[in-house]
Amino acid sequence: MSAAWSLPRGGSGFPASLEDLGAECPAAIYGRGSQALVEGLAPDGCVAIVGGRRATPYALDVARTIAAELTDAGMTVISGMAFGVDGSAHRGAIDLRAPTVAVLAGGPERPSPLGQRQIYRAILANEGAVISENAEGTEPFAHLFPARNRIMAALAGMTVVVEAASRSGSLITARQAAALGREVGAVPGQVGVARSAGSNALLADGACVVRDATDVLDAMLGPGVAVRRQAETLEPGTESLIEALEDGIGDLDGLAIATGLEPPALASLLTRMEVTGRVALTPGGCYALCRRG
Amino acid sequence: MLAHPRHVSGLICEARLHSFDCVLAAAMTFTLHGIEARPVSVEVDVAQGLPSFQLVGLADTAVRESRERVRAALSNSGYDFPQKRITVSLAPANLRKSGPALDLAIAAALLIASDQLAAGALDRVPIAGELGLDGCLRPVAGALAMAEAAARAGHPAIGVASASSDEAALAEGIEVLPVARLRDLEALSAGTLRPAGRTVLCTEARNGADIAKLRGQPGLRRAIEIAAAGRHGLLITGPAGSGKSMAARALATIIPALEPGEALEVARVAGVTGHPIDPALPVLRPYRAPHHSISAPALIGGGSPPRAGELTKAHRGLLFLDELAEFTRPALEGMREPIEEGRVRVARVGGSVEFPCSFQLVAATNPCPCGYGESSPRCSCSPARVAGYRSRLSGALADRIDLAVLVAQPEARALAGPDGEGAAEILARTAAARDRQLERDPEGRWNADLAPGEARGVAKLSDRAEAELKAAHTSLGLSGRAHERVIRVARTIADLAGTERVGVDHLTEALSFRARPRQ
Repeated sequence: MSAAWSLPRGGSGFPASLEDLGAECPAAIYGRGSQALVEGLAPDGCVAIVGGRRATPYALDVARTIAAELTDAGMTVISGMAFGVDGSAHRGAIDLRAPTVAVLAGGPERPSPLGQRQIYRAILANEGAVISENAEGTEPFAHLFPARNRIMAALAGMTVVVEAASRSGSLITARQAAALGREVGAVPGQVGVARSAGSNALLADGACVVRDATDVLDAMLGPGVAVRRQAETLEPGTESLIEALEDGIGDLDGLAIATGLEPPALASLLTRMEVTGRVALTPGGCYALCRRG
Repeated sequence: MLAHPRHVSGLICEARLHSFDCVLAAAMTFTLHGIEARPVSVEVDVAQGLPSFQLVGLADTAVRESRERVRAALSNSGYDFPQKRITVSLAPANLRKSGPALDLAIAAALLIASDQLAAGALDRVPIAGELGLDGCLRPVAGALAMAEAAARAGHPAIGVASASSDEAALAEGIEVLPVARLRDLEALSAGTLRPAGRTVLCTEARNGADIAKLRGQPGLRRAIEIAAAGRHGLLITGPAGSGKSMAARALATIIPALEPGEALEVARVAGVTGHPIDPALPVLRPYRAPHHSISAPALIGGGSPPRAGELTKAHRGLLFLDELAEFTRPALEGMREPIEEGRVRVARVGGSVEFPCSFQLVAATNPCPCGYGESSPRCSCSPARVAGYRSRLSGALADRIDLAVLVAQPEARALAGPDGEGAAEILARTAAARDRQLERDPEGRWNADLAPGEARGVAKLSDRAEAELKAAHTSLGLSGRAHERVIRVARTIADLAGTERVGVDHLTEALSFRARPRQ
């Protein structure tokens, strides 16, 4: 079990983005899990993914996928650990064994709701964090939830509502994000269905259309920045491999000699590039770079 | 007054019966039926009348010719060939008898019936051997199979041509009495013939093409190491001269040596096919490389009487099919079922025969009909021709191929470089990997032989590996079978690395070796 810590406002580790709340800024952040993660949160590195508790399978899937892709791109996913969309968003990061941040209404020492304890444990096991503006021992009363949402909105550079009915609490998060000048996005849902009435209404009001992680990254960082960022975090050896492929070498042996990589590492790298679509096999069985569309 | 001749049935043998005009004797022996030896009871009736010799009991040509061999052997050993009406019956009557191994029993029964030999121990001891005209015994095919059949039937001993007694002495639970010449039957019958000591096999990995000479091809070396460690099927695609055959021979040198049970199976098959192993030498894993012009029966097994094919001769070893696309369609299709079952079934009127064929498949093929490969400027093949060529890989064989690797002509630079690791070093790793498989699986299966669905449980994929597999499944379009194969190969890679769980790197490397769908 991880130890409890707290970050009082005015102290060195307190996330600066919360100051944007002005008078509404919390007096302190109490947390469990990785303190360093929370101290390092900055809006252009965080995305809040929220949505309704009774979510459609479509929404759960989209939340999980987008969360995973954003995590893979180096973003930290923040959500409220509720049933439904929130839980799926956290799971997307957990799938990659990567950190994610859960913001609770009650104290951070126990999972709330209790039914999400598995996710709670997984978040802590993967070096994530569970935080709250309320001290340990606080009961998660209903009136604390809208307030909790403003914290998510402030920490993240963009709030994405995956699916929300007209009276969903996640719409509060979106409104607060807009009020803070943060980006707001929503995933298109089925028209005429009550569960997505709220998120669709956000779109009608001008929120960004979010179909995938790229839409989020483009909205947050500007188009193309995300791609460049990905290029910076390349694995070692990728550069020389790409060069060799561009030179027309397509067989495993030739690539091993050209890059100097050991066959196991080279094979793993080639597979990962195949999975992301960077590389494919020709009909004759040689590796070749794919033209980026 | 005529006494009734006592009927002799099955394996019970009672010596001689007198009546006024017939004397009956019997001896026990075996005939080969596939890989098994079936008991045969040789009954000889010597009656008054014009000299004649009738042999009945579905005997093939070699058996029928035994009359001449027995006649000469008897005379040259100082016995008389009875000038009577001789009837030899090989029971059971509806079992095909083949091979010259029945000579000794026929001679023995004849000698007993003509009062020249006491039955004695021959009541309980079956005998087998081919007679030379001088009365000396020649080796028999399938001596081990016969000794095992005799042991199963409860006989205390078996008499075998001494040249085959070493092979027979591999069998458990039975004494082997080596018979060097016809006269030795007297000692056997009296119980004074010295039994042969039990033969123990020693095993060793193959020597051969030096894997260290496979220069400039690190990817290929890695592929054959993985294939050897898990006994995975391997397909090497490459233009002529890219070292495909050399790679197959090198692979044979880094496969761990036979285990004792496997060695016995190899000895049994070798005996049955007429090329018995020499127990004085270590037993090696078989290496068979039939030419692509081979007929389907020669490859798979068949003929009348049913004979083992190359698949069986490769049992517990390696079968290398060079120029895979040049094999005939019947040959490739005919391999489908035996490969899936691990057995060749040959159906005949007299019943079906089974031969074992559990082997490692290595195949080599050109990338396209002209042999140069599309990356070479000299290739003149149209895409349609290439597609047609590649589609000849029969579906069942594709299922046995866990690893596919493409090789190109090694560069001149690389060929001039230093030698790679030698077989001994690589063998240390593959043997250790094999040991881990043996510890894990109570049945002692190789990773390549894990049943569908089992591989996952055995593999113990880490969470990241599972995630990677899922992602790959979607974006690379893996079929269910490809999924299974990747997990099996990843398990072998993890065994080579010595880890308990399969990690994400093991999995991604395994994915790089998957066979790509035919275009």
